[in-house]
Amino acid sequence: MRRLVYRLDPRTPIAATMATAIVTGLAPGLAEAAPCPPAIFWPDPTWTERQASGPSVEAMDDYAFTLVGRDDERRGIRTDGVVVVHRGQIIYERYGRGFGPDNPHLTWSVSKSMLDAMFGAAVYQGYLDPLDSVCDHYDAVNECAMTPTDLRAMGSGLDWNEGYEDEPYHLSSVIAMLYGYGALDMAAFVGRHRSEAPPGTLYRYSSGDSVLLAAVVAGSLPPDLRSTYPHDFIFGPIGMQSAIFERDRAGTVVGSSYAYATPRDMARFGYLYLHDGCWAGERLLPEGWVEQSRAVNPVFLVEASFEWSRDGDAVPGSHWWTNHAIPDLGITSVWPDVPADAYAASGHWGQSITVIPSEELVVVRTADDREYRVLDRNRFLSLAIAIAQEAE
Amino acid sequence: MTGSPRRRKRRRRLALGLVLGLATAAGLSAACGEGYDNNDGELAVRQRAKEMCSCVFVQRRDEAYCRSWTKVTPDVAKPEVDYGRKRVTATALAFYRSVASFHEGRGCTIDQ
Repeated sequence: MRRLVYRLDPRTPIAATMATAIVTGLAPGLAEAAPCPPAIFWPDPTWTERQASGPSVEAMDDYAFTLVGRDDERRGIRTDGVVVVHRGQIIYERYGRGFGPDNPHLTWSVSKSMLDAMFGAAVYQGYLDPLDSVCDHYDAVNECAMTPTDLRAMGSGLDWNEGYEDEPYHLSSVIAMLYGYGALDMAAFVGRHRSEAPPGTLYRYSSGDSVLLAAVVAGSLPPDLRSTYPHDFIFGPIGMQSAIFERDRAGTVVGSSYAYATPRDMARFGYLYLHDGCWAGERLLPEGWVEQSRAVNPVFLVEASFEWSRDGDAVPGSHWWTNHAIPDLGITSVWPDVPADAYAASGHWGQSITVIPSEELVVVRTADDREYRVLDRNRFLSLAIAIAQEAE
Repeated sequence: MTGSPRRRKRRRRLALGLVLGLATAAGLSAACGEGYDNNDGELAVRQRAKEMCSCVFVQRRDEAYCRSWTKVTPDVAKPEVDYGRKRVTATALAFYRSVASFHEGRGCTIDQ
């Protein structure tokens, strides 16, 4: 990977001006919301189906649903469900390993993208400003210079180690948060971490930033909304009846990891983003919010943050992942045969919701892939695109 | 045991304060980036209780599948599902115990 060529400090006057413009555009009442993009079909009350058939369907069946070895060996591609939505209709739907359309599935870090929507809805409804101090809404934190926008960009600057199985347990911040010291009050655990860098200057993929963001969002809300906002803001309006966002004992939504939904409902979430945060003509997310989610993460470009990116990592957006290439940094598209406008929510063990606007496509996969990156997502998504073309 | 009830109460408070103080100190040191002084047994039972609870009551999968899905190496934490109270208790090595309970609309939470 090439050395740094971008040096953009988001706290420079130019960046601050950009941020102000963004906030002005996002704040309800300050600017007229853009009209919602039309859709031919809305899944109301359920998805309509136009199941495809052809060689690409067979190829997808073979690739995604052929198990190897015994189940307890946990080897190979272990797909639990795939739903492909093209132009508002389900064109491919399969389940494996005992899962079916009615089983909510653990989404792991796909939850982060769902939290992104909760944050956007709270902004749209005027409960918080993206550039507030986090301490305006949540006080168990050492660093009040952080803003919700810093957390959305995973730029808190907090010292955090996101290792899972590949790290010794005593070094993993996320294991400590989910099951160790932090488990009963995760946001407070995150808030106690020391700062490694000023907020907005260092990108680190961090489940801690997501949990802290969830606490900040909840803290901005009236008490009666705090226990229901995931459903009130997003899951209810878009009909994700199966969705559950679990909480820790302190009541904080575990925004990093613990959203559950059926693949069909996960497709609804992708469809919300495909339509710029609108659902059936009603805007749920601020104008421009989805654009920010799927743009290159601004903190990723600051200083040497990108150098922490591992080979094969997608370029991060804001609580989403993108298919952007950054030629100046020697970063190529992570899914080279997929349109550059694709972006995805991605979770541990192979969970994903991929949105491809130029193909009018939402591709959901749930899985139990214990071997790291055993699925070639470029191939998988290319097959989904081919199925859509066959269904034309 | 010696001393008046008031003294005993004071001693208990001091002991409790000491324990809480040590726990807080451990928590603070855990936030300093030099690793976390997690107890492996506690991690094991919490992971098993929480994920087993969610697997059975949120994902609605059968117990055999969930036992397999939540198994980690070393497999020391043993889960027990209470379908009536919708909770899972995991125990390990006779010392460690964790309970996760399911609440409608909110999923599973580690209680202890």
